[in-house]
Amino acid sequence: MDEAQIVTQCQQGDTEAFGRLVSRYQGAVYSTAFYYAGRYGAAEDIAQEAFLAAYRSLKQLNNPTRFGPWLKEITCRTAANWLRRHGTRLRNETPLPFRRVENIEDLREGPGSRLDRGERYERVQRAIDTLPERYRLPVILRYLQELSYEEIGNFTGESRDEIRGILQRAGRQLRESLTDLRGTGEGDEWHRARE
Amino acid sequence: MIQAYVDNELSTSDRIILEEHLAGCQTCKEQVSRQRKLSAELFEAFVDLRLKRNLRTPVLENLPVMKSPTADLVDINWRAKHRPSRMKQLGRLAPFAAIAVVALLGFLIRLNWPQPAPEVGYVGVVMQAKGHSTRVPDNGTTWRSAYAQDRIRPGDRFETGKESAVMVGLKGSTVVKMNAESRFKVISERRINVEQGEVWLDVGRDGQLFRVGTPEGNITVFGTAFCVSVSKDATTVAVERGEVLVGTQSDFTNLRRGESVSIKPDRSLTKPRSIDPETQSAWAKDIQPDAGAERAYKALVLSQSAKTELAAQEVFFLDASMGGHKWAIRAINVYWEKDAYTQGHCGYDVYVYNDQMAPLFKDRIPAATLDSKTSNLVEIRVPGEPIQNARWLFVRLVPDLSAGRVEAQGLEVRALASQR
Repeated sequence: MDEAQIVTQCQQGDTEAFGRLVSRYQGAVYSTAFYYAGRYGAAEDIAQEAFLAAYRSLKQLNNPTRFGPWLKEITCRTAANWLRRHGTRLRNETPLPFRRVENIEDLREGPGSRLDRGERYERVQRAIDTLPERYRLPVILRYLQELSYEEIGNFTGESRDEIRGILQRAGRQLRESLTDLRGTGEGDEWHRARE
Repeated sequence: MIQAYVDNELSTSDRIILEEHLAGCQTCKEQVSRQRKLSAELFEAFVDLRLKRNLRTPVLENLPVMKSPTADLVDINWRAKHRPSRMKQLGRLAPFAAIAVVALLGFLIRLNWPQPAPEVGYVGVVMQAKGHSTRVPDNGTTWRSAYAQDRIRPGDRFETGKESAVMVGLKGSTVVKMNAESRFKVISERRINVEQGEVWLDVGRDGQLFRVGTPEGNITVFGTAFCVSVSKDATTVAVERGEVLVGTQSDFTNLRRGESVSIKPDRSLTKPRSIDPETQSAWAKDIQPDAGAERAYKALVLSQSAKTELAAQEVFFLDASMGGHKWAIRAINVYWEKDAYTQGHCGYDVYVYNDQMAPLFKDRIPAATLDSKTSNLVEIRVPGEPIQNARWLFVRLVPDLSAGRVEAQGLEVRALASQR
């Protein structure tokens, strides 16, 4: 079914249709929330809150074909509100990867690897922060939830080709700033992370 | 294009073209390999932070209930056609008005609800009245017969004739039994004046001192049973159990179980002598409460005793040897915390004993002194010769609640002495 149709159904009060929209967009909304505040473990809460806010103001959406970008705006606003509410508290908090509880499996990996992982995450995060503002959200959408170019474009309101260009340029820049990270493992086997 | 290839986002034709090119171009092949590593690197960095559950269920569970827009339109149209009249708008307030009226009614009923026990102002119950016993209410002059279950107000006076007896229960669990040909007045629930005859008291301990006034002197009680008899010649106090402080204006002593003392008309005290407490108060055993009156008394005590204030004596030990020197104590200073905001302080009776617990002298701190906003001490001079050769002194401050009911805070006692 066409997305605009689903949105119209939602506007008429069909919650099942809204459930379908949640399934379709949860990755994108979650990633956006993560982009703003996810390092403090709040991304899931913000995502839920954003969906509820969207449902409440669904009738104000005039153009059902623009649901994705509209939802993105709401998510950004929700995240911003959340940050404003919790900003003072967060100033003293440690970002997520460093406060994870060390469980048995982590111990089996050995003490070094866990540290490496946290370090690696920090460097990636820093590299992403050096990207132009416009590139960052698509990069997070792509690498956090593994969204396709089409899904990213639907959400940010850009065309698939624009996304392709953005990720191409962002990829080049990231490669440059992360060169030293790759280090000596030139010929190593790299596996893509599985879910 | 390479990024899109790595991300598997190329169209089929583009991919075939690129793969053909890669087969022959080493530079591009390396680039693909590097881009792939970078992608893996990025995925790996984020893998722990991915969304871990489906948000569909929690979001749908929390959706607010909404009217569908069609219903909204119908509603709006209907309202546009049928403008609500002013009366109808007021009518919408009806439920709130009803609630307000009910609340108001409830409040009024609560205010006027008959109190189950309007026994305010009573301090006790007549528990038994035998023979010709009479009572006169406060400020009255007509004597009326006393009956069991009569309520007692402060100021009531009781008198018994020949072969008569009265038993009275006061709040704070004090029982007063009155022998024949006696008279006493109830001042408050913790104070009575025995004017004539013989009275036996069993004073409950509720934190407050109990005082018995006699024509010759005061008796201060710390929870005890004792017997007071007032005759023309002397006032005699006999203690059945506990401790009683008997004092006149100039003299005082402490009595224990089985001791008796008389106050002579010149207000001096005889030496305490031993008595048999059982025979002394044998008459009181015969007076037993009326059943109905006992119930009424218990109800009164239980309903009101919680409101009584606490007043207790303060006891101090003064080290009179002070550094091993010989001192002659000339005065005792009593200090308290200055309190500029409270009026209605009580006065204090000051009793001073030596290290053998023998009474030395007594004095009074009037209530007005404690009410003073400027001073926080009073000096009590030792009458006559300074006290010498005492290792320590024992000072007892007993509040006198007749002037006010506020006790002083932070009481402290020090001795003024000079070296011999």
